Amino acid sequence: MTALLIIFATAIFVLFAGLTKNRSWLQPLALTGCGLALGVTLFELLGAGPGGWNHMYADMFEFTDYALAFSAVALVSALLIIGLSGYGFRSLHDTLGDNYGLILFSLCGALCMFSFTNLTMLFLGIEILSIPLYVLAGSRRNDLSGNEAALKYFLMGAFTTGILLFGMALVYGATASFDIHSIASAISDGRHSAGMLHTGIILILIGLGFKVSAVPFHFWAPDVYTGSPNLITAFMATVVKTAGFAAFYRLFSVGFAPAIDFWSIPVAGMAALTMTVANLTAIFQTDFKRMIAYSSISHAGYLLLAILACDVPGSEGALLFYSLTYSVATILAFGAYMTIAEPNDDGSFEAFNGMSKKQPLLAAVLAISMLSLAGIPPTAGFFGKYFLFTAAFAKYPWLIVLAVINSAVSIYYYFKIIIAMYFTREENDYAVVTSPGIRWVVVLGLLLIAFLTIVPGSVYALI
Amino acid sequence: MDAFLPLIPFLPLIGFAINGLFGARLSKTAVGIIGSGVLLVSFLLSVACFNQVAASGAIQHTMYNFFTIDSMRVDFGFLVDQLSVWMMLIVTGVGFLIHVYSIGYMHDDEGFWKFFAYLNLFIFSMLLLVMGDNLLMLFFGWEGVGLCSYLLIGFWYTNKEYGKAARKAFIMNRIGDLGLLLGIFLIFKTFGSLNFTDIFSRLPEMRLDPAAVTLICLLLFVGAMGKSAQLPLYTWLPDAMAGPTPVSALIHAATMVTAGVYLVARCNPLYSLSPDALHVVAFVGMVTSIFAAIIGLRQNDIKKVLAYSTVSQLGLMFIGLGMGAYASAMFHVTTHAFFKALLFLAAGSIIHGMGGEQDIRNMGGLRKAMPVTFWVFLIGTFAISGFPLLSGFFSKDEILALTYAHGGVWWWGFAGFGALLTVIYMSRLLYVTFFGEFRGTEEQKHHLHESPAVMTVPLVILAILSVLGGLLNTPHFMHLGTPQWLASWFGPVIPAADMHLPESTEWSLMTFTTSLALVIIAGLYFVYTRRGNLPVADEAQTGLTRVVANKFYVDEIYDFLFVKPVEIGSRLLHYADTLFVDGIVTGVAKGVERLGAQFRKLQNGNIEYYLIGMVAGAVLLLLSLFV
Repeated sequence: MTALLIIFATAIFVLFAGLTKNRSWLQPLALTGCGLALGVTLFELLGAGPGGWNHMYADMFEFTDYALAFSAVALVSALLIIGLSGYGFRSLHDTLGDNYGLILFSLCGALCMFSFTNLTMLFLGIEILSIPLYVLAGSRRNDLSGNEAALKYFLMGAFTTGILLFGMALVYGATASFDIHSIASAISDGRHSAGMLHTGIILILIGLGFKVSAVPFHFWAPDVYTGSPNLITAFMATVVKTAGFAAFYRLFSVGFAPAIDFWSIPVAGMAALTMTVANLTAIFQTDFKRMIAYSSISHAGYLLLAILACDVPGSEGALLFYSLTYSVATILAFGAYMTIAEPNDDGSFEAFNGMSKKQPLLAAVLAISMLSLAGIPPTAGFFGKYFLFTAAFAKYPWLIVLAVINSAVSIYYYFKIIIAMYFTREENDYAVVTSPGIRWVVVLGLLLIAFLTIVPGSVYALI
Repeated sequence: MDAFLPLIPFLPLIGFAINGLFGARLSKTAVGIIGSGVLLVSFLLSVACFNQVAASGAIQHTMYNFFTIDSMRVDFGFLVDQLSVWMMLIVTGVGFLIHVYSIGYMHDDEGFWKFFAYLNLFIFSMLLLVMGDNLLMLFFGWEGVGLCSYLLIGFWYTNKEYGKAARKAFIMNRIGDLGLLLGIFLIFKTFGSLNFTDIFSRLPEMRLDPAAVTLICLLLFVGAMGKSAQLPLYTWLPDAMAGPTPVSALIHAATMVTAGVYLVARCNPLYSLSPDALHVVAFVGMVTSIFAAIIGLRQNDIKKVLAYSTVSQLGLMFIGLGMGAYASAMFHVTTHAFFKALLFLAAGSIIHGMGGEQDIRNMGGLRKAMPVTFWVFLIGTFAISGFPLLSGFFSKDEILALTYAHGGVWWWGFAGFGALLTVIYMSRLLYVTFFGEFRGTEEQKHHLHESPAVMTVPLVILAILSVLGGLLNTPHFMHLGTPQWLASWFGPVIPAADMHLPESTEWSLMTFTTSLALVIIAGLYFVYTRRGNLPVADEAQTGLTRVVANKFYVDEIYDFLFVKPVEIGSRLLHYADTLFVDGIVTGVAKGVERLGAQFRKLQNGNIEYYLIGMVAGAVLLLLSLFV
């Protein structure tokens, strides 16, 4: 809760600070807020916090270790993303304060989604997360593709919000409660109308499936990811995805746990579809950002395995670890992409040709994040997949086989970048200049990946 | 000793870090000394380990707890027993010689430091593979060597073909890894542990379903097939010759490819419970051994011949494993490491002397210009052919004898046939390259020179090992040295194979194959030193020889069977996403085309289609209400 308050206050502060002439301190301000919130969260997580927030606001929130750990992941991602923002926000002069403010507001939504105990709070969290994003996607006002992305995202988001809300209403109708613990006990007591409950669950599944871009509710993702400003895409691909999955997991592992036999079939189908369709489509992309969009969809497929395995001990830890490694690697990839592609206005793979010579550090970092996303040992991404796959293996061996095949396929497109950077003869004359901001982010991200690689158990065992 | 144990793998890692980070700024001498020096220390430490294992048995050392999930505890730990310490000696020892050789071979390459960094990283991964005390550590090393192999095959990345070869190796290996990974999952599910000691100690008291054991063994074997280049996953190895020659020697002959053999030997308690799996192993080994040898008969690239010979020899090792002769297979791994590293490095010396030429049709008569290389190549050829008392003679003969004892005359016959084919193509290689007259260009003739001492000294050391290596494990009936020393050394890890043949049978089997080999070596001298019998250009070949020269078109068949369908499938989905989506949208868009460019731009985004897609998905999900 403290983190939520800090972020909220920082957001308002940044919003007003944006009105002043000197905007150079907006980024440090936002960073300080996130850093402070992260520090407090870690402090609380390691058992030293004051606590006491859990039964306020009519039991809307519950700040368990689960919520705190995921908040930490989201805050780390936000910290890295805002650290990169010197790049993505270069052209935004008048609206810089609004942009930082909106990112932080959206982060507040994410924090609510980690800790909700009440469906109303979940809904509010999702909306607080989404509405600033609709604006942010279109934040480059003169950019048509950005406008298109924003409109598309908004229209489809509004459409699914309706479905989600209807689903919640039906679940309420069936169980007479919005509280996830009461819902769970109502389901296991048998005091519910099965048809209404199941319809409700399916509709919520669709709503959340949209948020985490699971096939077939993923159509928005490639277009919106491609059209939005790079920084916002990085935010969507990491914080929003983490929030979506953490909420998804929490709702289904607590509230709908007694009905697992019912919903596991559609979720398994979604997982299988998501991995396969996204990976096979990603092979054909020639644009880095679009490739990352499909890659991010495919990771949603893997992450759905955690939901399926939510009754297996350790699946929470697997989800947490995977979210963190995936987020860090994706942000690093975006950092490199922004540095290389943005100034030269070329997002194709060829833009990366010969990067190993021009920017050895950046190239190495991008290569490591690609290896991690592909799950090649001994990178952190391997452990992420390993934890996730072992958790789900006992129940869904066929799905794990499919997932392993899919991660093998994914090597193909992740390696395209590595080949372009290290093994391509034709070079381009793009000038690539790094800023201190990106250098710090890259070093921090690398240290994080190294830490996750050497002692994966430490994060895994947090919750 | 325990405290120093982690140094053995981590020294090469440190070497990798130093050369990788600062190599570009260091002098070549410094890079070479660091790269080889760390290995020398690792080798000496391995020798110390060997002494300790000899004195007081296996060492188990846990560095720290990797992670604990529920009941599953995985440590970053080492298990140094008779088997792994032996592999450590091979990896660091042969590795060290190859590093030294590379100082000379790669001297003019601008990526000198990068090369040594990769080589060190490779040694690190390989040591993790053999030293790990659990399957996850092994898998780590397993993937690590795959990655290094990828980096090193594509080392000369300016050539696009080489990059493709690197990718092929990686992907083929990943197919194998899929099996290995599933095998590991299944082992965990069955035994609740990934630690070798735990698994094998629980084995006797568990009443396992034989089918489950067979499945585990077969899955692990799929991994071994990928890494050790067995049919049908072998095609990457010949292509891997794109890498610099020391890489071929180190990775694709002496160490990495033996990882599959090591895996099966390590898991021998499991395999011994499953005769079916052993049959499969032996059968795959047999087919690979003969198939690769036949292809080797008609190759004209000196490194390709050696590559197919490696595939074929690995096949022979798997025959040994399949016969339950794990120790004999490991013995052959050892001798093969010596003579195959020797042959590759000698080939590198030739290529070096010829200024990059690899086609044996353009060589000939190199005997006089490169005397040291000639003599060591001769020794290597004789050793691999099973010339009496050289190393290959003992190891090959032991596998063949055990094949006769356990599989009967037919298995022996086929395995022996593969071995004799080896004699044929290796003698052909020797004679065509070193005898007769020089057939290259004038410029090449002028360039021709013996390699520097930094290259020839490792060659001579390897040659001595190739000659004497066989004495490690002489058969009982010959009463030479300590009979079966290596097999008894492996005793605590690998139970001795049951050799129940009368001595006379063993003698006659050996005499038969050896005399045939000698006749072939002698006979081919007359065939291939005559000009008319030199290999012709690929295009001029007809019929069966052409099929063989084209490696039975296996690459083309794979391309047709696997690569194309995947491409087509992916293309179909691509179309589903672009054509189908765009198609519907274009239809919609056509109707509103007149509404102006801006509007169309938004429409082109196909929101309608997206929503239709989502609704279809929703309907599909709602159907599960009725399941």
